[in-house]
Amino acid sequence: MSGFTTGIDARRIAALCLSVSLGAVVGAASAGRAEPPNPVLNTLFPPGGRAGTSVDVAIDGGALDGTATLRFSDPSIVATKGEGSRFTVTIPAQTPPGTYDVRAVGINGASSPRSFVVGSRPEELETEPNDQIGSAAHLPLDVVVNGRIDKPGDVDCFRFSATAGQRIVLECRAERIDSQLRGVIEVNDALGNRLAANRGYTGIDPLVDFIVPVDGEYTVKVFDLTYAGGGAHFYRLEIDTGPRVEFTVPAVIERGKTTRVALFGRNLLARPAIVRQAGGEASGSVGDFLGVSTATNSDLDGAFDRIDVDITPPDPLDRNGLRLRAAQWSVDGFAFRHYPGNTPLMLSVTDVPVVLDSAANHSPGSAQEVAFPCEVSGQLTSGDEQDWYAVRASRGDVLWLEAFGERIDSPVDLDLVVLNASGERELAHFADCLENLGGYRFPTNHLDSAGRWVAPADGRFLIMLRNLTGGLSHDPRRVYRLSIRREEPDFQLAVVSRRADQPAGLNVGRGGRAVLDVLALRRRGMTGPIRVTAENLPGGIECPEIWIGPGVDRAPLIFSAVRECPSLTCNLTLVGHADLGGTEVTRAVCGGTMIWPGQPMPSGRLTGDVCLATGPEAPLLLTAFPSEAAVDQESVLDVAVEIERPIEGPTAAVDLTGVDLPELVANEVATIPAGQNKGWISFHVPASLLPGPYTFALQAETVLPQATPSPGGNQSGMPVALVSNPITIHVAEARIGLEIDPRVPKRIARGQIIQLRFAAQRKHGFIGKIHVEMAAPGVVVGLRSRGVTLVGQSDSGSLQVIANDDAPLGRQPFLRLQAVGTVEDKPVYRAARFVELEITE
Amino acid sequence: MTQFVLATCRLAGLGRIAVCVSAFLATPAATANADEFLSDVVPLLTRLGCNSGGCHGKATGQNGFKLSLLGFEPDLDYQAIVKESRGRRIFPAAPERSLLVLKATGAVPHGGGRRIEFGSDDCQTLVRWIDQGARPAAADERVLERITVVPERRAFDPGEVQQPLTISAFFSDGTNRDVTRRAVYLSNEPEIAEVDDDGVVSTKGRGGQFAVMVRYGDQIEVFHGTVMFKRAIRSSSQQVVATDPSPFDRHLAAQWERLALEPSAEASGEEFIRRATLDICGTLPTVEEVTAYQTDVQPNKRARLIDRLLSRPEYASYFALKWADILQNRGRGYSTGRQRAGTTLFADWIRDCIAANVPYDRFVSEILTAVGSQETNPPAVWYRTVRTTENYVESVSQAFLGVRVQCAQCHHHPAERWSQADYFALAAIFARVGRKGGFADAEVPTNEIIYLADEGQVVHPRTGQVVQPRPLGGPDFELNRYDDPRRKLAEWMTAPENPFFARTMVNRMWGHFLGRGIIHPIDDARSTNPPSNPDLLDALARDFVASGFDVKHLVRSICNSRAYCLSSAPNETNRDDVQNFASFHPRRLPAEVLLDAMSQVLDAPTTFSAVAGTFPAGTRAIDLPDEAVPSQFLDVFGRPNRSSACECERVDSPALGQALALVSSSELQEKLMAENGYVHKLAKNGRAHADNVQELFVRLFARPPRIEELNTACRFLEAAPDRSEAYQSLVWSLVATSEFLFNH
Repeated sequence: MSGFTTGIDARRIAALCLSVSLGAVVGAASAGRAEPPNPVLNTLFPPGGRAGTSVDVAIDGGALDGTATLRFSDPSIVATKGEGSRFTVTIPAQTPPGTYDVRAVGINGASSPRSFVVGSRPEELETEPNDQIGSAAHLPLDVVVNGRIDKPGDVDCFRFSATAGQRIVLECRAERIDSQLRGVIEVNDALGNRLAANRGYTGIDPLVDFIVPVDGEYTVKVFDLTYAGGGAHFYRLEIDTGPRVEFTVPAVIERGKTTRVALFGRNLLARPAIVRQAGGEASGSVGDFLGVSTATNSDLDGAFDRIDVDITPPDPLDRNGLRLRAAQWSVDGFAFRHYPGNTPLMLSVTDVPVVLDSAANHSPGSAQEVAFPCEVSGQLTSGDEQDWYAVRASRGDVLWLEAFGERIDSPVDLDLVVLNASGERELAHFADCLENLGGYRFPTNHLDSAGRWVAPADGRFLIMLRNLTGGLSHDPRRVYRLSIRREEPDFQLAVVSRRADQPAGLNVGRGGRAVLDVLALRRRGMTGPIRVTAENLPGGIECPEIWIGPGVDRAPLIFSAVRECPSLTCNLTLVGHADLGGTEVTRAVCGGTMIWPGQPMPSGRLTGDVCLATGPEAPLLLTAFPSEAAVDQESVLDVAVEIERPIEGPTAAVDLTGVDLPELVANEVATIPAGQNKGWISFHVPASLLPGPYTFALQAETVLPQATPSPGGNQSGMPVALVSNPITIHVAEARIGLEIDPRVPKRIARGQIIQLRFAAQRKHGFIGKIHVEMAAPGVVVGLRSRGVTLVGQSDSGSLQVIANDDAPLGRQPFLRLQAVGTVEDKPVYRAARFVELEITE
Repeated sequence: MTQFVLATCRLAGLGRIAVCVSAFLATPAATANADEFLSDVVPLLTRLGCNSGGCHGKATGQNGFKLSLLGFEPDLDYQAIVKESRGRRIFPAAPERSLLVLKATGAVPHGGGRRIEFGSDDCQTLVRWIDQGARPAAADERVLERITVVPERRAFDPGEVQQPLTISAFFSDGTNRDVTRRAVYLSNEPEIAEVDDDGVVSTKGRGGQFAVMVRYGDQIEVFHGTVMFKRAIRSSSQQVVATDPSPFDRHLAAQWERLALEPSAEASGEEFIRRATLDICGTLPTVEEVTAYQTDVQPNKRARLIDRLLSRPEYASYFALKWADILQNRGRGYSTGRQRAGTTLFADWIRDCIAANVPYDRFVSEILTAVGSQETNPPAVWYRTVRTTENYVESVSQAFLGVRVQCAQCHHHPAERWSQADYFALAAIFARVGRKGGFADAEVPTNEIIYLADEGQVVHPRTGQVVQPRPLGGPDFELNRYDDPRRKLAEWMTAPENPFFARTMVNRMWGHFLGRGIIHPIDDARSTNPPSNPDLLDALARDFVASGFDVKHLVRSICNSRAYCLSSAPNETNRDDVQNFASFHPRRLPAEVLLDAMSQVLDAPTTFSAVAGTFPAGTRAIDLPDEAVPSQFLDVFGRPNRSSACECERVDSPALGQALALVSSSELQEKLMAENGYVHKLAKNGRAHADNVQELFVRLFARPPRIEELNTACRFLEAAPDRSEAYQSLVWSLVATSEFLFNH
């Protein structure tokens, strides 16, 4: 009992810490149901370091009690504990530049991830005071400054010396490394004259690129656009003369092939490029600001150097070091590094031939002929440019067209249209992908258009692609991919925490369970079931395989830890399996996370790993039976539930609901009365649910009693929620369609007799007897009826239902009319309908 | 006699009534020419004011009788007069007893009173038309094509002079007639000249220019009048015409000469540096700047000063503030500071454009055609506030074309050619502005993505017809399916030959620097509101276009003009002139400039804070991103709330609150008493009072004190027991003077 009490207090303290640490951010969570302690790593500063060095970092977050170490998605990066919340991170010299995940691991398990950047340049730390140019630190070139806008109104100033003719790129990484800073860069000359400012180049992260006009000292200011500030407003400022690749042509290369690729970027060549001033004439003179204007949407023509290289995609594709947004999970690609560049670039990969767009395909009359399957790599440099392609298709050909723009970091909003051969009539106009599987936690929606098109006749058809947000400017970064393929199903999977109020790691209490949502992106008409397995789990951790049913896009993946499980932290290998055209295809499951809670716009990203850790002992264990069952459409599934309480004591009522039920299955609520540990919940499986396997789970909500009443006499305990083991059902086609006459009374008085009329239709070749009777989980209480058997052609009947004189008032949960179809006198097929019948006086 | 005839007719029966009355009322001329609804009746109703906005012409009509405003929808009017209310307004059997006539003559109670006399020509027109069958406008009916005014213009000598106007109407069948007594007249400057119902213009003895709008039917014509000023001293303007190479000065001088206006003397160097620094940079010159300017003996020091000011960041900040008002970069309406990023982004972009001297045509095109996320593409933030059909039309027309077309949303513009079709054709250009994404802050969308939607159309509210995109006065656009009509609008607008675009900008800038546009108000260009100096306006516009829409060039042109360099002290000839820029017109400093000026001279910056964060120390009011940054001082002194594109939202008229603010504003008190402020330093510097007063005057007014001012100030300081309080009081009193509060 005392241990139980201690556990409760620990949780309360942890919850208190959490609320103090996160303030309003977590306020919403603490005001509702208590969750297990959820370690959240808000900040790690500095947010990166140079390969081959050791960096002292400090962490901050919530429920980080007893954090003993930091865990990186690249296991070669290690940390040793320092004083308090400080750690020393050692980055091996061979660690490739890129953005990795780091988690804090403590007594509550592993935290949510934060980005940690590994660079190849020397690094500096910003030190206050530096709000004025006069107090700015002098920095060398080719350096990365780790800084933080500590408080509202803070401005960080730095000085550097440069030589006339040098091309210097100043780039602030903030949003891309999980910071809340909306950064602004200003560059001033020695006299304090502002030479340039930028407030967003790569998304909202700013960049200034300029050729130094005269030898001398320059200053750069970094601040928040709205003068907000705080610990979460960290950044990495690069003052760089090294090569930086921004995009490639083609934007996608074929898997397994070596392709000549043009790299476009800054400082790729030894000499300054011929440049164009913002909105002005071509010029190579010093003092130009290369495409990153302080004013108009500058024309970026000529801002980029180009070099050509041969690239062969690695096998398997390696995305280590890339930080990708949630919507990018559907893009196959790998981390391409052009050394000595400081940052990797995601280069897309496809398994069909790649075609480059021609320069003169901007009208229907000059449409470029392409044959599918293929992927076109093109550019929409000018704002109103249209790229036209022509395909030949036969009547009934099913094509899937998919444009990639936003998802490959191209600043475009692509519009994709199929037209007749003359280009005068639209046959299909594809919309943005608005489907957001992950919601606020992991927004998967994006602006890239895609869709299915069936050729209405033999002939030539045109495909037009344009940028809806091009404006008046020229921007060579506007590359795109256009996939033109037949209906070849495929899928991708990601797992994300169920918590909607804050980011979370996956921590399993010993003797308890934890759950991740598996999200399935079904591509090119894929509708079949997907099996998901966790492989090479450490001892003491279990994760039964689950099924994402036909047409369903999510299912719970549930991990449990035995009570004796040692404390551990591991990376999970999750694999999805599906039958695609008779072949089992496997896909690795990627991890996803919310970045910050409480934001007006959801922000989620992929994680470099899927980490599991053990947490504190679980107070309850919810187990559902059976864990696997065969059910017919139009029948009822009964699930028995048992709650295991390692420590005995008074128990409160438990409310049960389904979790991640297929959308077509109506959720139910059942209650296990206080003092009991077993109960039932039932679900009706509708005829519309496609046959196949589905996995869902149950969630129980109850209240743990207070060990000691509060001074005010408040006896209310701590509400908790727990999830059951997964329940997999194999849905079979209905052979009996059971309907209850809607005119059947909804009430029956004690001692009253009513007729319960029904119809039972035989389906799909079933011709046997059907026996119909009242049923309920366990036994029917207070009602009597005799079953009816329908034989021959008869398909309707009536049950005479008698309410006992002492029948309990009210409704019996999950009372149903149940039909059993027999084959050779064996019960084979089932159907059921819930009966809404209230017993009255 | 009339009563007698009517009584007789009653007895004789209805059949005779018409005959009797017609015989009595009709004149030989009238019987010869049938009265027509379009060319006679409707203009008459307009002249009588029946279809005016205050009577039956308003949207809801009056007492159940609704006419189209000023008769711009004659079909509707015919229905209302002849068909509605079971035809009770017309009595064909006894036209003179028609309700229409009885009401107009006051024979029966009429809310509008008696509009015409029974038996008058106007009355006969109505009766004849009814008697002739009350016919609607026939398909082949002659159409009023134009009217003329004779004379078209006249220069009046000083004093009170009359000029009758003769109005002729010309019809599609080649006929014409005198409609002088049937036309409607309106003077735009009644203080200079009035016009009566018979078209007689009477000058009021005050010099200046005026225009008389003449309306007959749906046609409008203008009489331009110029009343000479009383020349008192020898004109020097003629010399300017001969010698000055600037075409602008030549046009100014010609105007002055034409009007016998004597321009004021040149402003002193001190006046000019203060004026130009405030007007170009929204900032007071420092003591050092004033001293340096005064001691500058090199030629062209004014031009060089203007160049220096144009290169200062304050120039961009100040004009960005102006454009943020016009472009409605609005922060109010949101519940949090989450939208502040958008307003900041847009404000900074405007500032950068101005600093980089982005050509005005490009600047406007970027805004009009903006697409993309408001999170990353600043000009797209314009579409955050401007988001309805009304917003699109009125903001574009007022901000960039200098035309107010709001009226045409509901009815034909009463004083211009713009119809509802014009209004909704302009709206149709924006019909495909798509919005997606973003989030709502207090239900106000922000961070949307603006894009060209596949579909979108505007329907004429009266005809129900889909309206094709067309700019004001321009041709229908030829568009294919994927063309953005806004790009066509931008191309049309920024074409050198566009009649509105460049003129509006130069007029706006002229108005900024001279306190009044050549067309006034600056965004209300119309034939009935002509420019005071059309040649000057045209010359400026041509020069602006030729410069590649170079705004700094335009500022130089204006600020180097003779008008801008004149003293604000009037002479005897130009004392009453407000139109011709013969003297500089003082005006109160805008709220932000005033607050910054106080911060500057008192060396006590204002601290601005907002929901999202605290602005860095030293942030100036002219640098604030939007109007929602809290500041009671700015609100009291007329900071606009940016709910429209009209610069008139910025109020510079005096108000009691302003006087109270100068007396009791905690903001001002804190600055006066700031521990490290200027007043504190004055009190502690130990210098002689005279030295301090000398510096103080230059600091506040860009001029040294006059001897009496110096003596008065020194006496006051010496008499005060507490030096610190004495300086606070002195500075306070000087800050509250008109000389400080005004640019002059």
